[in-house]
Amino acid sequence: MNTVDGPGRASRAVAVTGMAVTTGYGHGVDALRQGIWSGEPAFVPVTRFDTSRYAVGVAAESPGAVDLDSELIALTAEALAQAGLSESERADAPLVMARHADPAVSRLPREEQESRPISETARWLSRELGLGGAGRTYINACVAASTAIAEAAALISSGRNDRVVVAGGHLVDAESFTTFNAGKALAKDGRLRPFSSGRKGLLLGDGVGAVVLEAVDSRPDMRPLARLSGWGMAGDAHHVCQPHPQGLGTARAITRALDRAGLGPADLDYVNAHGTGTPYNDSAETAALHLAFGEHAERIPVSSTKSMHGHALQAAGLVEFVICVLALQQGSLPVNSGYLGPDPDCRLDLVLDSPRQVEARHVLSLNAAFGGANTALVVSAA
Amino acid sequence: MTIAGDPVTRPLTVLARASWSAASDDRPPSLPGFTASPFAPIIAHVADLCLREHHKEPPAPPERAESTAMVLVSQLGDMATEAAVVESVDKATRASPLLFFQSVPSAVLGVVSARWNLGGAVITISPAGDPLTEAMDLAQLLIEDGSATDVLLVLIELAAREGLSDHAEALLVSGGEPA
Repeated sequence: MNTVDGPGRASRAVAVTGMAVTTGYGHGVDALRQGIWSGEPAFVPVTRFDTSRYAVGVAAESPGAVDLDSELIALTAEALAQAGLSESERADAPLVMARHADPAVSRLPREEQESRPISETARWLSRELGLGGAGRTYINACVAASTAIAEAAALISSGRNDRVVVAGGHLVDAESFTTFNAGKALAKDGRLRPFSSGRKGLLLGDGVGAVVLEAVDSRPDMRPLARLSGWGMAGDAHHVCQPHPQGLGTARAITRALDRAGLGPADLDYVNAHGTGTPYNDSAETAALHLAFGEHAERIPVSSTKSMHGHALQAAGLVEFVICVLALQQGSLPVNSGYLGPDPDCRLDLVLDSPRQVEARHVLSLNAAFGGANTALVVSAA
Repeated sequence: MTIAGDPVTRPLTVLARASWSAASDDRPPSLPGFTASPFAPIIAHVADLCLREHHKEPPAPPERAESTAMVLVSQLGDMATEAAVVESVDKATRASPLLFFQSVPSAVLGVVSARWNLGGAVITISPAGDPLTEAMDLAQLLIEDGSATDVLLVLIELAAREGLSDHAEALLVSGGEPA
């Protein structure tokens, strides 16, 4: 399927054909589906390392011993199997990644670090799974996975590739706890309460996963789970770590994604918000939604599922992308957990108390990061 | 100056280029709010040199600024900040609050974008191949995809061993004709 996307630019439609994920609810998409639609947060006392010196000791830590490389290879293999790619089709698909630098590399003697670039994981994963080589590894924090997904879509849309695999991961570790604790960003009350009065901050969560994106109709036996119909990226041009208070960058990213999808705000059935539960983010994100959606801003259902699976940092966009696909499949929107009451700076139609039955056609996934980075992905029913 | 990218697409035009090396250049100006690592000050400095070559004074003209993306490219990332975080974990010492912000390698791009009012995508990658080739390829994709009209590329590596120097390069590229 080809569409005309702006003056003189032909583009190919992008399908999601495989996805797999591990979160605080455990291994697999089914565990995530059951956990999120139960409405019960996955936050538990952290057992992976000693948290006694931190202000907060809980996170959405997946049960049992979890190793990032083992999860990455298992989940990417699962996503490839679901997509049903042949050996030659796998060999045709590059792997784009999202992750942070491995702290283990920082503990090596300095002269050994040079041979361990951050992109090493992508090279290894591509080689082990017979993929078409390592693409770029995105390390831009909380938008790393969503930016990787946007690049994959652009590679397919432009005709460079018929299919691209995106993998990413973040496991709760002492290093991320140390920096978030130092920044006083963790919620001392042990709950992540997006868009709520009395919100105290965020909580971290495990997130590892992979998705397979393909050009629609690029092979005869394709079984699309959903379509990635729009993507947009924009900067705030404002501050190192604070979002623009009027949400300028997020609003621009939303508008770019909707324009690419050929949709308007009235077409959107749900927004999976970045919603970190920090005072700054949630009010700025609300402002962005009002700026981008105008009169529709308070009628489009919104939730931040970080309230249940925590903030998966570099993998956040991947986990939340999978939840958007599930929302389309379920005909049900996940809740915004931890809500205590309205905040006048967060006037939105939040999904509260229980999942809302909606046969959604188009949903929006938002992410933002330090440096003023913003991404928006429009996910549409297959 | 033009650099050919994918043969089926238009070559990129390099509007400006700047480089910095610890081996031959003065230390970059210190950057308030950043500590323990030269990574962010070097990026802010070399980006500024490059943007001044083309735009003269900040901010960039509004008709270009809103669709100017920034792509930071580094194989190893900010190893000095990573080392400071790991040391805090291993020695159980209190980490500086500044490490929270700069543990994200793209945080410094917030300084550059605010100074020059650049509203395009904010991206940081570790390339699997040659950094400049990968950077140009990504810039070309962003421009062809309609995600940017201009792209500021900043390539940086901190010295990983004795005998190497911290070094960085910045290029402002465009899909259009030379200005």
